[in-house]
Amino acid sequence: MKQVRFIVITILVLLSCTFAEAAQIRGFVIDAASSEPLPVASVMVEGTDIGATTNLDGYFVLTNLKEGTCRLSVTYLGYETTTLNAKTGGDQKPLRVELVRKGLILAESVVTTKREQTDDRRNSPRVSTVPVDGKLIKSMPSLGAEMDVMRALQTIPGVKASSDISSALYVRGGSPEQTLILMDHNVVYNPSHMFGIFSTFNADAVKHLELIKGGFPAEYGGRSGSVLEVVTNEGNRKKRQGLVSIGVVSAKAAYEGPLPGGRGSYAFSGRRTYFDPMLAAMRSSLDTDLPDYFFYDANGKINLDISDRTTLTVAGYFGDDVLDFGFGPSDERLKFSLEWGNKTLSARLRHAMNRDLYVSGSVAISKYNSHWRVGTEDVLLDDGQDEMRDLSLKGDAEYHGIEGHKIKVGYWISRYDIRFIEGNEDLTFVDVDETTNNYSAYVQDSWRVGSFWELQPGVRAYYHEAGKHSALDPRLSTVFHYDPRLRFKFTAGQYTQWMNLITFGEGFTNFDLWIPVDESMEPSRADQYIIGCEWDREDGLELTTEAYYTEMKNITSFDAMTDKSISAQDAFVIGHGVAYGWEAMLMKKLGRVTGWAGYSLSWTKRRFPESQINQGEWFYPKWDRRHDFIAVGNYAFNERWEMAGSWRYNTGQGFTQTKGVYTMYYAGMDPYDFADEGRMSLPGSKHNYRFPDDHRLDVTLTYNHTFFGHPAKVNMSIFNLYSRRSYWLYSVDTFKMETDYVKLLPILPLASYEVKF
Amino acid sequence: MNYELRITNYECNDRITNCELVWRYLKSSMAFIAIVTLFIGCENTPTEVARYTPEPVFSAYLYNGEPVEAVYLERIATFNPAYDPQNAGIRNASIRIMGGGDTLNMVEDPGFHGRYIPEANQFLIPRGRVNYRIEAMTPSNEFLWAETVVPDTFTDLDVYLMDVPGQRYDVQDGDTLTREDPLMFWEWPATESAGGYAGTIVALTDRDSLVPLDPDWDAATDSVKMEERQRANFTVMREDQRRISIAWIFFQWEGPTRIELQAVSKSYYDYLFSSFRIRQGMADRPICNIHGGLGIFSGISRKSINVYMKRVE
Repeated sequence: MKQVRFIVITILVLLSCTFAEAAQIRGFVIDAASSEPLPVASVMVEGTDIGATTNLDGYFVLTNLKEGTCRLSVTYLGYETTTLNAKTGGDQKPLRVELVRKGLILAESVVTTKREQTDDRRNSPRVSTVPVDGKLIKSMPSLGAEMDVMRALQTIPGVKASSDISSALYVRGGSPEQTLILMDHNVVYNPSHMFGIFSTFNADAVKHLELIKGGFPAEYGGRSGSVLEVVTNEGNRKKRQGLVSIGVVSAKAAYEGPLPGGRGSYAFSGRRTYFDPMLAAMRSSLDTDLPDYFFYDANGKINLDISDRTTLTVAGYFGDDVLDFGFGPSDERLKFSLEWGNKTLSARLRHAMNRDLYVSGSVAISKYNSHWRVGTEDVLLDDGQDEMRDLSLKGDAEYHGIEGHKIKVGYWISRYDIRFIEGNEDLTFVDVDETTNNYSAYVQDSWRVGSFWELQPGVRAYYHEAGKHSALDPRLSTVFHYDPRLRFKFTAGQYTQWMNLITFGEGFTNFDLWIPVDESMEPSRADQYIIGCEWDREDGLELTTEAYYTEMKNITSFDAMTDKSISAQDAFVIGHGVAYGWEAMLMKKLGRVTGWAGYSLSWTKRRFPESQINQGEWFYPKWDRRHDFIAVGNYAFNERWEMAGSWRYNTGQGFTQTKGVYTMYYAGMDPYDFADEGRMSLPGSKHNYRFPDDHRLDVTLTYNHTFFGHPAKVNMSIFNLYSRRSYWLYSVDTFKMETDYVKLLPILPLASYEVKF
Repeated sequence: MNYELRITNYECNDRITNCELVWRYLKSSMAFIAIVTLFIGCENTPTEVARYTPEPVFSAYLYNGEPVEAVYLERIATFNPAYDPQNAGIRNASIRIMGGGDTLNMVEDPGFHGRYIPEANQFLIPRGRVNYRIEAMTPSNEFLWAETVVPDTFTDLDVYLMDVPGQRYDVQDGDTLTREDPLMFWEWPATESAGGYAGTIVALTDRDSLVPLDPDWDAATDSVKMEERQRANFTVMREDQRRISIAWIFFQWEGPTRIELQAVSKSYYDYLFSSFRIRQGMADRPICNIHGGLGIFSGISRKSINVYMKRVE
C-alpha cells in the first residue's frame, strides 16, 4: 500500500511540472589528447548555479537557459579547466569540449582555484557515490606491484576487504554478491583471479570507476547492496599508442588508436601471469608438490562513429585461471585440475536523438564457468562443471525536455542459463539445469526544485519468470544545498536481488555458483536509508560524512548440510540481516599532496533462523569490522618522482574459537584407527572472538623517465613496510591440544617497469 | 519558471561567515563524535569460551543381530594442556537401553573411564526395524536420552573388480589384492529403514607394524611417523546410492584389511556429515540426536569381508 501511495504521489508531482521550451546546450566532454569521453565531468554556466554532470558516455545537457550565448566552465579532476562561449537554443549539434590533462607541476598552481573546479558531484543528487579515475588506481600502492582496481576500492570508507589477499568487496555490511558489478554496462559475475587475490579488471584497461555504496538510483537493479560501474578505455581517437609492462606477477600489453578515417577508436589490452615457469622451476629443484598455475585476461573495445550523434561500441573481455595440482605416491597420485573464467561481449548503440533525447541500447552476454576434476589415473572421484550465462537486452533513454528535470527510463531483460553438474563415475551428486527470464523497467527523474533542492524519485519494477515473482522498488534521493559549499543528502529505497551466490572461501573464488530465484524461494530484499552531508573548502579539501541503515530480508547462505539439489531452496538457508554505521571521508584533491583519510564505524549482523548456522542465532559475519581507518596520500616531488602511500587500521576479523575437544566414536571403527585418535573440536558460536587489530603501511615510489624516447616508469613498491602480519586463520590441533594462528604476508618489496610507445 | 538563486545572491562576507560557522561547529562536534564513537564502538572482551560449561557427549551404536558391547559417555574437554579420553569420561552414570520389550542396564568398565558395558549376565541383541531408546543419568543429574530405529540387514553386498573393457572379477572373503588390480566396486540393494550408508576400510595390522603399500616407500630408509598411521578410511553416502567405486588410495597398508558397508540411521548420517563439515570449517556444531547433550545413538546394519592387501615392489 505504501508503495502504491509513493508511486501515485510521484506521478502527480511529475504531472504538475511545467513544460517549457527553454534553451539548451548539449554535448560531450572529451580528453584533448585522445578524444576519449570523460565521465562525471562538471559543466557549469558561469554566473549561475546551472550545471550538469556528464554521464558515463561523457554526454551532458544544460537546460533552463536563456536564448543567446552563455559562458561555460568545464572541469574534471586532473584536467585543466576550460571555459568557452556556447550558443543556446535551436537544434544545435552537440558540443565537443576538449579538456587538457594537467602536468604534474601544474597541480600545485591550482590550489587557489575557485570552488567549481573542485566539485564534480554537486550537480548530481547521488548519495554514497565515489567516482574514481583510472589513472588514480595506477598511482596507488598495490600488492605484488600489480595495480588492482578492487584493492584500490577497498581504501574507500565503507568498503572492506576480508583479508590482505582478498580483492572481494564487502560494501557497507553487504556480502560480495550484493554488489552489482558492471563492466561497460555488462554484468561481471566473478571479478577475481587467483582465488580472489587479484581482480579481473586490468588497471591498464580501466578508464573510470564509479562505486555507489548504497542508495543507488532506479536505473540500476538486480542487486540489493551497491553498484560498481567499470568503464574501460575507449581508445585514443587521435594517434596510435601502446604500452608494455613487466612486473613480478605478470606482463601486460595494451594498444589503442583511431579507426581509419577518424570514424572511431579501438583499445586492446591483455596480461598474463608467469607463476607457472617459476613454479615449475621450484618443483624440479625442490622435488616437491607445487601446483601449476597461471591466469590471463584480455579486454577489447571498438567504437565506431556511425554519425556525429551515433556511436556503436563493441566491448569484450575474456579471462581464465588454470590450476593443476597433484599429490600422493606415484602409483596412486591424486590429481586436481581446475579452470575457471569469465567471458563478456556487448554491443551498445548510443544516439543523441534530438536536443531533448539521448538513447542507448545494448545486447550483451556474460558467461562464467568453472570445471574441476579430482581423481587418480583410474578413478574419477569428483567432476564438476558450473556454467552461468546471462544474455541481456537493455535500453535507456534520457529526456531533458521538461524544465528542471532529467527523466530517465529504461528496461533490462536478462535470460539466465545455469548449468551445474557434479558427480563421479557412479553417481551424479548435483544436476541443476535452470533457465529463466527476468524483466525489469524503471523510470527516474532528476528534478531541480529551486536553488536548494534536488530530488531524484524513481521506481523499478520487476517480473521474474521462475516462480512468477514480481517486485516494485521505489527509491528517493534528495539533496539540499544549504550554501554553495555545504550539502545535505538523504536517500531511502528498496532493492531486490534475483540471483544468489554459493561460494567457498573468501568472497569471490574459483567456485561461484549463481542460482536464480525460483518458485521455491523469494528474492532477497533490502531497505536502505542514508543521510549525510558534504562540505568542500576553497583549498580543495572536501569532507563527506554519511550514516546508513540497511535492513536485509530473505538473504541467503549456502546450506552446508545439503546433500541434494532439486530446487534453489535446497542449496540455501534463508535469513535476514541488518547493517548500520557511520562514515567520514576527508579528501584533498588539489596541490602537490593529494589523497584522503577515511573512517568508518559499522555493524553488520545476520541470522538464519531455521538453519545450523550459529544454531539459528544472530552472528557477526567475517567482514564485520567495528572500526576502519585508512589514509591514502600521493606526493609529486617533481616531474620525475612521485610517491604514494596508504596506511590502514581496522578492527580484527572475527573467528570462531573452539570450546573444547571430544572423541568421535565412529561405528565399526576404533578411535585409535585414526591418526588423530578420533578427536574432534567443538566450535563455539560463530565468530565469537576477534583477531587483534590490523594495521599496515604500503608505499610506492615511481620514477618517470624516457626509454629510447618513449615515456617509461619504474614502479617500486613495498607492501607491509613495517612487516606487521595480519591474522588470517585460526587452527586447532586436537591431538596436541594446541591452537595456532595463520598470519598473512610480511614485508614484500616488489617492482615493475612500464614503457609507452 | 524563473528561479531566484539564493546562492548566487550571497554576499561574499556572508558566505565566509557561514563557512566559518560550519567549520567551528564541525571542530567542536568532532570531539563529541570521537567520544561517542569510542563509547559505542568499543566492545566487551568475549567470554564465551572462558565461561563455557562442558557438555556431556554420548556415543552408542546398536548393530543389527550383534549383542551390545559398549557405549561411551564423556564430557567435552576444555583447552587444558592435555586431553585424555579416560579423564574426560563421565564416571558413575546410570545407563540403560530399551526396545522390543527388552531392557539392558550398563555399568562402567573399570578399565576405561567413560566406557559402559552390559551389566553381568545381561545382553541385548538389536533387531531390524525396531525402535530403541537409550537413557543416561549422570552423577550431576544430567539426563540424556535418544531414540533410533535399527535398519534391516543387507540381503547382499557385492565387492568386485572391473577392468577397462568391463570384465568383472568378484572379490571373496580372504582374497589377496594389490593396488595394481583393476578398480574396485561395491554394490548393494536397498535396505529398509536406512537413512544413508557408510563404507569403511580398516587395516587390521597392529599400528606399530604397519607397512605402506606405496611402492616408493623403502623400509631401509623410510619410516612412518606415528601421526601418519591412520588405519581407517570411510566414506558417507546418500540413502539412494547403490554403488561406489573405491580408489586404491583408500588402501594404504599391507596386510589384512576389513571392507565394511553399513546401513545407518538418518541421525548417524547427519552426525557424520555435519562432523565432516565441521572439519571443513563449514559448520559450527554436529547434528546430534542426543537430548541433553551431544553425540549419537544409532542403529547400524553391516556386512563386511576381509581381504589381504599385498604390496607390489
